[in-house]
Amino acid sequence: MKQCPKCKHEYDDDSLRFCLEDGTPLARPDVSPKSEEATAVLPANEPPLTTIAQPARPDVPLPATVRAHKTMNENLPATSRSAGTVRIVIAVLFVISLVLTMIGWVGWGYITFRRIPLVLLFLGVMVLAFLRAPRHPRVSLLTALALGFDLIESAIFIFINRSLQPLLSTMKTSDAQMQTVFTTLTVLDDFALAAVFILLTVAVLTRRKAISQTA
Amino acid sequence: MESGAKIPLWLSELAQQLPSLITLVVCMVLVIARWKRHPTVSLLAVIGLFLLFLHSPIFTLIYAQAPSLILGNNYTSEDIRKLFLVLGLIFNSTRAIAFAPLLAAIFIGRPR
Repeated sequence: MKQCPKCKHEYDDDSLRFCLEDGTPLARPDVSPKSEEATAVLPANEPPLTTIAQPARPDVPLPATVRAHKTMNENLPATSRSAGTVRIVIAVLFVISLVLTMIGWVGWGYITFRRIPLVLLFLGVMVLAFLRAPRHPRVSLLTALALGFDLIESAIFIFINRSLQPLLSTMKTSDAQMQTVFTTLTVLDDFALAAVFILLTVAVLTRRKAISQTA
Repeated sequence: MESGAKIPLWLSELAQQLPSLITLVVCMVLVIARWKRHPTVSLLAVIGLFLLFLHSPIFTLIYAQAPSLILGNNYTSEDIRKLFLVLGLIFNSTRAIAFAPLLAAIFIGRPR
């Protein structure tokens, strides 16, 4: 049996948690503090209680703290799932970028070696995006996609560029044709850079609250 | 090659960078349009985008002029290789500096 501490109305249904008259949380009048069981400690991975978000009287507004708890619990599973997926994607991009950059250093030496400052910055920011993924999954994903794409694309571009030169020479291609091929490659590389700028700008502006909302 | 003859070459190389240059201008306009909503973030992003916008044309010019300006008329392929290694390092370091404000703008001003 449960009783409303405010209106003293009694309920036989033990599954009820809130008074049907005024929405106050119900208590057990027959349980004295001495007979109370020790407080149960839930395991860390226990899913949050959802019964608090199911009041018997939906028309009675919940207290502010309960509302906040409810909102937090509703968002938690979806956010942690997406953050986990984002972290996996960022980790994969990071590894591919690093491996391709290392292959470039071994294969073409100084051509890729001079990209070190940019590579270090991008890999560092990818680590930051990985760390911030639980809080801002979409922003972290966009950032890592942009930087990973740039690193991977640059490594592939250098590989194609260096492989084409001997290949075109053996095919006895004229200088004008070679010029056309390399100009096309350069323009394609520039389109890829433009895509990186777009992704980064979207990352800057996405999920951004106005200054008055954050204050 | 005389510097007068290098101008068409510089312009043709600049034309190859038009996609990214146009994109940078559009991105700057978008960020400036959001200036009132978040001024600090927009300022950082615009600084980054503007530095990136300046970076490519300036370095295209430097790459075209540097061999004759630094090495004169008598230089070997080894001299050129060393020069372009140094120029490449400077190019990528300055590009990293230009990217830094843009990347900082992504994470700044968000709840931790």
